[in-house]
Amino acid sequence: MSEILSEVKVRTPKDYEGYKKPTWCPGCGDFSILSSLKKVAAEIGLDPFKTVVVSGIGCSGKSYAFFYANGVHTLHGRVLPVATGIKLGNPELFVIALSGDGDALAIGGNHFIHTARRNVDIKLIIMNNQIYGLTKGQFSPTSNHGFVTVSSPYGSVEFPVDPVVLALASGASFVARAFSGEPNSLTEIIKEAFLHKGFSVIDVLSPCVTYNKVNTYDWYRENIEFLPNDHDKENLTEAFTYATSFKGKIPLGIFYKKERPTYEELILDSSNPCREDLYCGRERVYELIETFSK
Amino acid sequence: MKEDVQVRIAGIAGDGSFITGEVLASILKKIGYYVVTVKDFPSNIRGLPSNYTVRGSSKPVYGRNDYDDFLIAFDIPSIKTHLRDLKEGSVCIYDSRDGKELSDDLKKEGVFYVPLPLREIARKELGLELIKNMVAVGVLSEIFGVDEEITDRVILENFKRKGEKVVELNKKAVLRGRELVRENHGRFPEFKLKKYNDPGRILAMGNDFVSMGAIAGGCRFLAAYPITPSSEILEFLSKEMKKFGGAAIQAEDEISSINMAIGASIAGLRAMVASSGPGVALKTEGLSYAGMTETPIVIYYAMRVGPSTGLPTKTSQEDLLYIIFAGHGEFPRLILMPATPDELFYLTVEAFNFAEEFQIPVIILTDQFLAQNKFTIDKEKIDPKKVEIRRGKIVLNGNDVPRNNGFLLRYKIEEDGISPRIIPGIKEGVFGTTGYEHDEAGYGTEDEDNRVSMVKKRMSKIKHLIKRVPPPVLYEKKNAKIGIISAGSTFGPIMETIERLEKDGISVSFLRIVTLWPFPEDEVRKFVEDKEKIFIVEQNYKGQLRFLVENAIIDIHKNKIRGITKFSGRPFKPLEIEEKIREELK
Ligand SMILES: Cc1ncc(C[n+]2csc(CCOP(=O)(O)OP(=O)(O)O)c2C)c(N)n1
Ligand code: SF4
Repeated sequence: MSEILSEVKVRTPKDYEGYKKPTWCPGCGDFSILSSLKKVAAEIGLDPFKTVVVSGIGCSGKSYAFFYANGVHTLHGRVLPVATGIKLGNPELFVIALSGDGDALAIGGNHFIHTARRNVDIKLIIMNNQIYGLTKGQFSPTSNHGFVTVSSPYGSVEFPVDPVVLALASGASFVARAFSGEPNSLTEIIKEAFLHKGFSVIDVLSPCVTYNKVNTYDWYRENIEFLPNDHDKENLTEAFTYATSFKGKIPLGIFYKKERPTYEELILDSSNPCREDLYCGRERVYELIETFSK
Repeated sequence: MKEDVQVRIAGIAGDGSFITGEVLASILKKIGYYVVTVKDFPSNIRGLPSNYTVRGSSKPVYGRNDYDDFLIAFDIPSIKTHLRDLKEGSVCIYDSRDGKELSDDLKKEGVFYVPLPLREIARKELGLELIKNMVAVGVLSEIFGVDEEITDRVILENFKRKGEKVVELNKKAVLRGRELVRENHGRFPEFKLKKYNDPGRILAMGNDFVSMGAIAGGCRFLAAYPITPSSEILEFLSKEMKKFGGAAIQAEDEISSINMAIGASIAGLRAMVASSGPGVALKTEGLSYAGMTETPIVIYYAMRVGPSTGLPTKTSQEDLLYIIFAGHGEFPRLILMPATPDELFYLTVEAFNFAEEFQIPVIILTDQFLAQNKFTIDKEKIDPKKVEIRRGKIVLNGNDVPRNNGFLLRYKIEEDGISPRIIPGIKEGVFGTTGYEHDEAGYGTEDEDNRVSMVKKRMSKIKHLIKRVPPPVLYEKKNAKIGIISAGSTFGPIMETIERLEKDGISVSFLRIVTLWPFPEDEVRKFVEDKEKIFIVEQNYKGQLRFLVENAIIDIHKNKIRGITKFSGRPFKPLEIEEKIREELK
């Protein structure tokens, strides 16, 4: 499979238009994420043939069809296991994972923790609208306490999980938060995540204009605040401090960034299973038969 | 001279019954006997009763015999538990620490009882009570007339990684056991075993044969979550896979493992998962995703006793209907049920071939009995050179595939239902894959005509698949009016039953199902037609295989069918099948 590498050509964001035109509601925060993705792809000259976009189920999950690359639309919550399998199957592929807050943190919560722990080189963008969009407006694991929805008519009694804190605690090697309404910083952060080797999590606040009438663009604008420039990104303690208390605001920016060996490097000893001859196991089977027949 | 001998070693988990059994199995193999082991261990690490049966025979055997010739009981309660498996002429060797005289309820007529101070010798003379089990090995080796050179070699092989001291101590224990017999010499001459030359047969667990098949068959990815009785696949392959540049990994759960395997397969690897009932239950959503996305994967499924946690370390065939129908929606699948070591190996290889050629999930269905017990097989029956790797319509250059707007038609509708399988990373082109119903490029659409064509495309694989899958194996006796149908691990006791009935002039033909699904209806129908009675032997309560057979035949033949079922979690003994058949023929 030596054809895997194809030459990178100069591209523009338009070159990354997908199979379909986006079918989100006008004003949906996800549009901005998609356009930032395309900008970054063009800037770094991402090779679509070598890229796989893995997405889950939800409004967010539809994005696999809106971007020019190989697209794998998985089951609800299973983005990260499939992405892990792809990355181990061929570590030369560039793997982007797009997931909703329900997808990544409710049904897929377990995988989130373990993929972070393993540090698989996957770029995960959580399109976080603090609600279930596709199933029409139930509360999600990031919905605030007291949030009234069709499935929490008396206000949600649950407290939200903070994706940034969870990512830090689980061992992600790149952790950031961005906001759809701030496309410049969003693009910059995606670019940094793409250039980082290792499991990268970006929690993107991405308003659902149809079902979430509380966490709107205006609400976010009032409640966000950027991390200071002098924040030491390699300092995990500092990252936790900023993530858990920041002037009563929702902090945006890169909390943590520190490279360490990736899962696939450690498991595969830097080989690429895709390139191996499938018959190479036969000799070994002779040896095994010998040990079993001693 | 004995040509078929069965020993059961019983005690409390931690007594060393397991290692005793393993060592005995190696010894029997070394004197040229075919060997089967039956491990009967609790789902617990220490303190509960456990036992290990070793059978050696001059002919190939694939299951336990009706009775034990020897019972080595490390404690008195074990005698009570296993008394029913002793018969006239059997020998019960027990540790005399608990008193030399047994109470009457532990005595059976015709059984020889031999109290031996196993523990005492181990503690006082060898300085380690645990080593009592090797004293027992010595006792049996002497009775069997096994040369010292052979026991020494087996001890060396089994203990060398623990150091020379341990080897020497174990050898001494065996020798001490031999002396115990010599001191009372000549007591059991009828148990001298015949001496054959060791042809170097393979002695391995069912799971080992599957792992070797996976390696030979080009599997480069395994994701699994530990579960009895399939964990040995994860353990074996996590050691071996690295050597071929592949990955065998322990996932956080079974949902993750099947989705990882799906990812690896999409990336172009031959990928596999290994599990049992509770784990497969978690995998069913992934199974149906593989069905929809036509992603080749191999699911190794070793059945255990259910429902729920059931008896985790015991055997059953309770999940036949479950795995045929598991997963929502309709999609083709292939289910293979090996019964012998060579089938475990070759059908695993074929599972990968069929998965890739037809782009479907393939299930290798075994059970705890086959998975975790050891069997011998003649070396020449497993020849890796004969392994063939067929990858089907895999595409390495996008320019070979038609496209829509630059998107390659991964799901192009073809007459045989099989589309080009595009691997990401190839030159010129991208493709989509989704669990939604999709168009030829792999992107979701709700179009009605498209839906109909896509269902037909996927389902049309079945008619081509049926022509290629392994047919049932027919063991035919001329003019037999009686038939047996079974699948999987019941093979051994059935073959022995047939042989016994034959001696009494009752001929029985036997149809062994290898491909459980698609069910071989034609062959079954043909088999049933000219018989007067058909016995369906299976390890479950409901008669699941019987359900499938009855579904395949017309009504007038249904009154011929009799079910022989066992669902205690323990494998069939030949006698249990034989008695039922004789009763029915009276
Ligand atoms: C196993 C399973 N359970 C439930 C669903 C139904 N479902 C589809 S999307 C969704 C929630 C989506 O919410 P989120 O992940 O936050 O994504 P969003 O639509 O908001 O982008 C649910 C519950 C499903 N598809 N699969
Ligand atoms: S429902 Fe909400 S999340 Fe879904 S597309 Fe519309 S605005 Fe976006």
